[in-house]
Amino acid sequence: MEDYKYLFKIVLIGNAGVGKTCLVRRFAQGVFPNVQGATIGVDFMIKSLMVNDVKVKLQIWDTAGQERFRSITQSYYRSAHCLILVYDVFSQCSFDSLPQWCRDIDQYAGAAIAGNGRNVLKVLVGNKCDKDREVPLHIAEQFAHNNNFDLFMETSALEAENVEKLFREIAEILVSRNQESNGGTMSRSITSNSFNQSSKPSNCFNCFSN
Amino acid sequence: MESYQIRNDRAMTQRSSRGNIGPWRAVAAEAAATAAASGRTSSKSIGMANGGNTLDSNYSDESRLSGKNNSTLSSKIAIKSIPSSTSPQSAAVISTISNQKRSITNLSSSSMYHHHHDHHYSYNNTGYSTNGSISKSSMTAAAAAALEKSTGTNNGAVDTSDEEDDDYSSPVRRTSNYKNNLISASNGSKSKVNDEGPSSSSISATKLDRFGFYINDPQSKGLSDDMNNLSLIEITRKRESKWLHMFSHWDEYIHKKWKKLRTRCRKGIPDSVRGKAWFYLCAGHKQKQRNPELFAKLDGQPGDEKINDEIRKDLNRQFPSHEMFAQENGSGQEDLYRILKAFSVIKPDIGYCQGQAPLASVLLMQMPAEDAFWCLLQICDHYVPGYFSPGLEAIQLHGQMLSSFVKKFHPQIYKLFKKQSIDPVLYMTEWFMCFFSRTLSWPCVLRVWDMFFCEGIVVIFKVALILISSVLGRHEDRVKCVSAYETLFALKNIPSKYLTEEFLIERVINMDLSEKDLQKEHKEQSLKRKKEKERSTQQRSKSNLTKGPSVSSGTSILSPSSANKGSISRKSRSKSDFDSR
Repeated sequence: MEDYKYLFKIVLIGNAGVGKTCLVRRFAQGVFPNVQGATIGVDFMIKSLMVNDVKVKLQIWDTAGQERFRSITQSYYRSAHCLILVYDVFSQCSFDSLPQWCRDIDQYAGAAIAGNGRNVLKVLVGNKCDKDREVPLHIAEQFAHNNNFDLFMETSALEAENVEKLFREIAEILVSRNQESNGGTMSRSITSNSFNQSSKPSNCFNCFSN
Repeated sequence: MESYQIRNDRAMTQRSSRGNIGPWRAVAAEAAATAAASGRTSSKSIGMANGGNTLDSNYSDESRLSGKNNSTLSSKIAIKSIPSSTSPQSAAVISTISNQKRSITNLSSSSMYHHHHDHHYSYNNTGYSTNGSISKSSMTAAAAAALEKSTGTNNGAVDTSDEEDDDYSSPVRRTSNYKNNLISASNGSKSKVNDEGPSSSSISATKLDRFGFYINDPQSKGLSDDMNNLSLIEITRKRESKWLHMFSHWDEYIHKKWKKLRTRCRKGIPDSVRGKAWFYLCAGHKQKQRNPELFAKLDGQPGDEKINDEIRKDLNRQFPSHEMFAQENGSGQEDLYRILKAFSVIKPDIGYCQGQAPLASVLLMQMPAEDAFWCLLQICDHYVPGYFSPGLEAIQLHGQMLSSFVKKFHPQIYKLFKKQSIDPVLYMTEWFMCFFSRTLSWPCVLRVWDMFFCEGIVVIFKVALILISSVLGRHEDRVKCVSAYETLFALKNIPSKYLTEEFLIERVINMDLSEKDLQKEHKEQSLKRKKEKERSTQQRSKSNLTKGPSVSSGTSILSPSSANKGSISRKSRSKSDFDSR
């Protein structure tokens, strides 16, 4: 086994074509694919980083954005530590879909978590901020605030703007949350047996899956 | 005209317990074929399932007709066989039966697992001529000579004796320049991208392989020297003339020499005739023949703007390193839009699924847009019904079936999956939805598709099982997979040596997995799914909490009451499953 203290599962969701895969590849591989084929189903990437001298492994689930794939991807929301909802600042349409996504999050992640007193970290990301925007920043901020997002950020996978920062902040929040609730003693938030929702809980973070 | 014979009648009597997902016979193609044979050429007798579209009144009339017949069909589906006949009366009978069969198709869709299409028509046009598919000049000299012969006075006198070369492994090389003139067939030299190539200067300087891919693409085979191998060229020439012979005697091969046809598909269809062979194998040509105006009609429709937008977003994301699709708004992307939009208009209940774009693209690399449209329609109707419908029930069911086969063939791997709670949809969705077109090396993709068009989805199952065992078959492989992540990573990043035709094809051919196994497994797993759903529905009503990866969404889950109603409610059930979401 690799040496890491925390392993967090992050799931990216949002409309097709908003740049979820590019965001992940920029972060995990440092590249921006000129052309990225549509994600069919679910894809995974992993990236380790140090947070306060603690090694954190981020397991990033990149999901297909098209609506019909939600039947496959939704069931994986609920074991996530963090959900990143991505829209495209250049596409009002992708922003207009956010309420539906929020309902999905509440339905598939919210209820299960609430019972455990622990909320999944909800992050709103406006990607492609290198382009001319259709969605004003303050509107998105307001939306994030009204819908109880823990974090809001605009990113550009193309120009690598805020991408590293986004995942770093997520990791920091998750680490500090985990330390608070476990007094820093619990490691390996996910073990090999707790990859998805049908597994046994290994600590409070994925208790809600059962 | 031609005889009509129903094979595997047993299958006809088997009914899926999951409506659209688990039919047992690809009958629509035959139905269409039969009607054509009986001389019914009116566009009214369109042999397609689930039309329900108001665009083409004949089309929807037929669908309604079929729908009406549904209730009376079950008593007639046990037809053992229809005797061969050339008399008009028999043809009429056949036509009637074909309508009934078509209705069955509408009801339970068609077989995903048995692909033997009966074709009834007289085909004497050995090559596409006007729409750019195959021209004589694009064939090897031998093939052209054969064509000359077969289309000449001595039709059928081509030397295509049934003797077979026994070479399954050697790639069949491109000896023609189909659709584009990238490779000179005469001397085998590769030409550079022409002036109409992609605008990106970094790409335009790159060479293309014989399939039209830029050689720096991971799927590309690169510039091999196959073309200089004289014995391979000779094999290809022989195979080309055999295929030309088959085209002009298609019924005979479909009815009486299907195994030979299968063998030839397994050996690899020569590049020069591949597009036409696929088109024939899926009976797309038959549908086109019977609905000559349909594509143009659909093409002229505006379509649903929301769906069109979804399609447009994906146009420049398909095989960007293929010269056809590299250019933004180039003809490849334009055709892709046309056929996907046409499909979404004719199949409003499916609309557009992102998994369809890669399929359509592969088809477009082989044939003109209209033919690709028909192939896509045939695939979605008869090879993998339900795969692209909202809810993706069929793909999830196939995931469970695959998992069960893993258990049977590779219990140790299954144990690992179970231990790590790996849901099959995590690794198989892209494989199955795109028929490995985004996974395998390109020559291998084509070989797999050659077999797929002939044998159906069983080929995809076989490839999946072989890849899984190649990656995780050895103990030391599994030991490395300490967590589900490593396991999934291994399955998503398969070493390229396993993705080649040299490695895969022979294993696929030799693998012992039959359509019967698939049918059996389908039955078991759909029953299991039904039970799981009932259970989870009950659980949810208690706790309002969904559980289990197979549970999709509240609206897509059958209520136990409707699921238990049996065949009477089949229609409404499949409707609730596939249409109303």
